[in-house]
Amino acid sequence: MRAALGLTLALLATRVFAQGDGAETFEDRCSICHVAGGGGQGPNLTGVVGRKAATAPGFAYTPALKNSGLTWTAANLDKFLVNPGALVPGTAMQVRINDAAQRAALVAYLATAH
Amino acid sequence: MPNPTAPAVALALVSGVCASGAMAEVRTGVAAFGDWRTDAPGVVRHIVPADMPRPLATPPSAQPSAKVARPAGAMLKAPPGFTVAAFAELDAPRQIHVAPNGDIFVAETDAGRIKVLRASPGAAKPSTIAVFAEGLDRPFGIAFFPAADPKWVYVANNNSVVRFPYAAGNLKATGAPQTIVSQIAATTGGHTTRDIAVSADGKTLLVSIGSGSNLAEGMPRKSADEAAAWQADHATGAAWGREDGRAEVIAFYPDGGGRSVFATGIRNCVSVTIDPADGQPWCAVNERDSLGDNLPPDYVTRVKSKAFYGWPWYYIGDHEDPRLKDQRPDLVGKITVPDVLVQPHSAPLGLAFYTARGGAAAFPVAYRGDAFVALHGSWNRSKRTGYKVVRLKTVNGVPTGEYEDFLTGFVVDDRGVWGRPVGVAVAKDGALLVTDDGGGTVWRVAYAAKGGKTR
Repeated sequence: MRAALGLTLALLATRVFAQGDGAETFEDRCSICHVAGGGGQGPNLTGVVGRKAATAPGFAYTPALKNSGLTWTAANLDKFLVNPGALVPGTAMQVRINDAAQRAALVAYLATAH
Repeated sequence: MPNPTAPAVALALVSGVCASGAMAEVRTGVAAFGDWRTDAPGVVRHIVPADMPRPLATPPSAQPSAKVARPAGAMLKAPPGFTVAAFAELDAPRQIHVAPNGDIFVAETDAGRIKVLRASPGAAKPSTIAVFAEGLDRPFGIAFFPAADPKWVYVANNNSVVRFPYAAGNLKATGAPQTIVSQIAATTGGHTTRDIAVSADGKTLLVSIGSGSNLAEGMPRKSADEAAAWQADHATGAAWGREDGRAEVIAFYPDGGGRSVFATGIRNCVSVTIDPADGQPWCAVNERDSLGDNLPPDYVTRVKSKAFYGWPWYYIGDHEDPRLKDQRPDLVGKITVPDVLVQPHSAPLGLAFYTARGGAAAFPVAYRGDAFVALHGSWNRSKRTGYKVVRLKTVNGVPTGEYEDFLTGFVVDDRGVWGRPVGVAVAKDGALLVTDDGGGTVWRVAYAAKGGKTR
């Protein structure tokens, strides 16, 4: 029982840590272009998880992303963030998040950004 | 105030001016503001502060470039007498420097690697490409120390400075990195490149670090008294909060001690470079976004110790940013006006002085002492600008403010580009090497017409 509780707490702690980490990664790696409220070099990412690629209103997307046919599932975002130009050749998005755990935390954070 | 959309005036301001001994067309006034359609080797621009339009004379624009495959037959253009060819294919190559023995060090920033390229003088391709170091966190800046016979290669990562033991000819670091500066700043958000240069006397490392944001959006407001107290403890124009220690050039001893602030309010000095002729440090700086197509100019400038360049409250001297109106009247008159103003939103990144005095590919003598600057290209402008390498004219080490298109042709149309220049360096044989992180290429520009003139 004690062991199980310990495990649950550990998982909980991991989860909380991961989400906090995702927010930090967003601030660090994304926020200068993906400006809250729009008007930046990248589109507004509010509600990005689950939406079709290149559909945030008012943003001039590249033809590459418009024609990608992608929906931003967590899995697709993860793939994209490994190397955006590899998944969508011709995208203007250039930032790579090399660390898998950091990527996962970032995608989890994006899912909370409504 | 000039109207940047008046073509009749623009034509009137284009005149033949004799610059550095050659007849060149110098575009001044509104004619100096252009887009990729008016770019061509030999076109000279000279922008001065009085040419700046008012803030938001045109609306801000978000037009990031789309990378396209190089169209069949498309090639970069350089002035007559020069040849341009792909030298090496790398993974998004960024900063580039040449070691005293001629080996070429390139930062593959996204991949976390430093590579070494070795080529015989005059060779079209490297004979060797090796990984010097890997597993680094977004390495960008590279410096050799001591400069003449280096025992160390310094690398500026996203938030640290490390050094690797080095002897001439090493293609792989012979030891683990030593941490010299464990933390460049308390925050790492926003601009990611960190550059490094060794002062001419070999006593100081200069490290540049850009702002965490466009305009210090997350920086809490201070009262006049609080701002004065902060400044007294830091440096003129020093920012605080999430921008504490950002938008600066900072100085260290080569062992990492003796940290001090060298310059402030310098929004994003992507390259810090020493002019070998007089030892003066220079920066290539990216200014702020969202004030319109033709505001504010980016700049390339000599950087004097303790100079303040205005960010975030002011731009190009005492021009107040309307978004931070009336916040720092105390700073008026304390802002250094930069030397060379570059078409707004061009994004100057790499900066190198032309030093070669001979070699299989050496440029004509008129280039000696001038600077080359790579303009990575615009996103915050309705019509694309930048995406080229320009030559800054100097007379006895003093910039004239004029800059000339040297390498153009990366842009296909209003959306597509097939490459983006980042770093520039002079190879031991006198060729100019240009990294291109859009196309994944290192370009080599050589002068072919030996003994001839460029134009």
